[in-house]
Amino acid sequence: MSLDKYINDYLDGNLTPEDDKRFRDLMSSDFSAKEEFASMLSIHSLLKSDAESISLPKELEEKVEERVLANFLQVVPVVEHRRMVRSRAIVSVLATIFFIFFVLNVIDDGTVTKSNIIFLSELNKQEQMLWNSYRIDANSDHRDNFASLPSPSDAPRRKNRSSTVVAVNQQQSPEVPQTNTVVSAEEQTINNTTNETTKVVSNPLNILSSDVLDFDYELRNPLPKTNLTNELRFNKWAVPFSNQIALAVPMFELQSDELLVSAFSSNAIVKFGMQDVQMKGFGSFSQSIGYKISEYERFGLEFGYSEFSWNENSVIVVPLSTVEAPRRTITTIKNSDVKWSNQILTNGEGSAEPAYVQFPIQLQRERQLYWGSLFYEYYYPVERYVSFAGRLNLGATNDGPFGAVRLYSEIEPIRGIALNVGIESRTLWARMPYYKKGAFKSSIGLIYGLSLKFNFE
Amino acid sequence: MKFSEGRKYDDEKIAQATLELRRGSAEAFHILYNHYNQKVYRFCLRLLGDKEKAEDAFQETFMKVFENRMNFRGNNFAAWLFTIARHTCLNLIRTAKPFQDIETNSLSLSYVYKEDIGLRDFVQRAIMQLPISLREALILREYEDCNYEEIAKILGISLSLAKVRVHRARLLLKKLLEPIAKEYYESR
Repeated sequence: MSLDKYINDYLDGNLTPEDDKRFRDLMSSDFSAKEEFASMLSIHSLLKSDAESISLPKELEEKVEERVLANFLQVVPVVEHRRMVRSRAIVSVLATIFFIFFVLNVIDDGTVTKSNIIFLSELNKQEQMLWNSYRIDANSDHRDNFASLPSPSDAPRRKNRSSTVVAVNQQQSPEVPQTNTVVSAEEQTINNTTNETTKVVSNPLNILSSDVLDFDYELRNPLPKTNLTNELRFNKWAVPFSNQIALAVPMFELQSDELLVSAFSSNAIVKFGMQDVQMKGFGSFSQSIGYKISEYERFGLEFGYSEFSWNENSVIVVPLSTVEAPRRTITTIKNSDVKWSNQILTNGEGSAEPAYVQFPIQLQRERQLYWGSLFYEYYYPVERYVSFAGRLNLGATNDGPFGAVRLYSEIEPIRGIALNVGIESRTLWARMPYYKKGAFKSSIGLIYGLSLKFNFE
Repeated sequence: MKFSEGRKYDDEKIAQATLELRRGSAEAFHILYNHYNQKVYRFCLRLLGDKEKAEDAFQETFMKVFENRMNFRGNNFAAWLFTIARHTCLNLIRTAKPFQDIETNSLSLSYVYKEDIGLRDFVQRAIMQLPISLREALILREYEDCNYEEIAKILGISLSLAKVRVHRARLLLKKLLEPIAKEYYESR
């Protein structure tokens, strides 16, 4: 092994006991080697001495730590937990439940829930009228069909409702003749008819013909040979449909044949009543269900939420010691921590070594307001697939009243699916954490959304 | 703004802080910063040979530590930290103006010594005479007490090459510093 290698290993502390002995022997016997070693050792010591003499400038140490910690505060969690996803989910679920409730009630031709039983007597009456008021062409070839015409009590396909109907009938009209009697009466009447074009064949409940006409249960065509009951109901389902609507919205007797489900997002451009803070955003998301109540009018419900975000200046206190100070991490700032951070904590009066350091920070705060409203909408088609609409919303938020006016265009590139773009002005009463009393806050902004149309014609 | 004096922490504390840094703990950063700031600054200063550049590199190194804290894998935080510091310093060297390097490198040690500069400056200038590859290996070994495995990892070279570089750097530095060192120790 060369002298340099010995010296190098010695400086690194890597000499084995044998090599160490050989090295020491060499040093004692060879003067030049000893000088070489002394020279190298002095260089080594010089470097160690130089290393110890270098110290980090205090100002630089503080400045760099402050900057990096400030970045921690900026990046990690100073922004409050955003609830946008949750809010949208809540609004969507509410609208979906509402939608399912209505659509199932409207479209389903058989199920009437228990809650709607109070309307069954009226419904039953109408059905009975329907069965008692059809007119037939006495000269048609369908006479034979009436021999097997089912009675009102067992004909309807909607079994649940039919059974209830019968029960109500029997209670209200015990004098109603039995089914067999009705059938035989019909046969008899038909057989006795010769040159008359149209005739009421039976009227077991003795309902006046004027009542019958009021409900417009006129059969325009000869009765079909099969599925008579179903066909009859299907062609004349407007009355049951309107009753179903009446079940859900008892205030209005809607003659609706179109259901509109919409989702809107909006971003405020001009804001009013928010000058007291550094307001960053005022957006909203909503879903609505509307019913066509006339050729150009809709009426319905809209659920949504409005979201405010603003900047708030604060001071945060960061513990510097994990030993003396209570253990707190600045990565989990919550509202309570922010309040706590508004005061400067030290390790005690006159403590030479503060355990905390404070940073000025800017918090981005947010708040969501949920709202629900009724709306009236007037829309005017200008082209086959384009129409303009104006909507007036009146309702309430969880803080107070809410109102909105919306003007938007409805473009329907695909039948049943429409894109909406427009402007909206909204006003709502809100209580913000920075604002002790509630205040009206308004905005004018852009809206955009998507609508789905369901036609029942 | 006052900070507590830099503390040195035991290995367990450092290991714990290393884990917590990845989770975004500022407290963990504070511990690691206090533990390593001196070493990183020293490394930057001796590698760059310029105080202002060293301060820039030092700050940039810890900013990178913060930015890349999620990328840290393994348990050798020191090696990861010095790798970042080394890359930062090398970037600064690369972006430095060429004439400055020429001017610095052209200074002869004897001339400098005759100007009666301090010993630290003399050592600094001697180190700056070394090629960068030898300089960084020597600083890690002599100034930061890194073992050869750590040096190899930080420099991205093999263990044997790390040993060779440190050995060569010592020999070169001995040639440059021998007369000064001898005089320095004789005078003491």
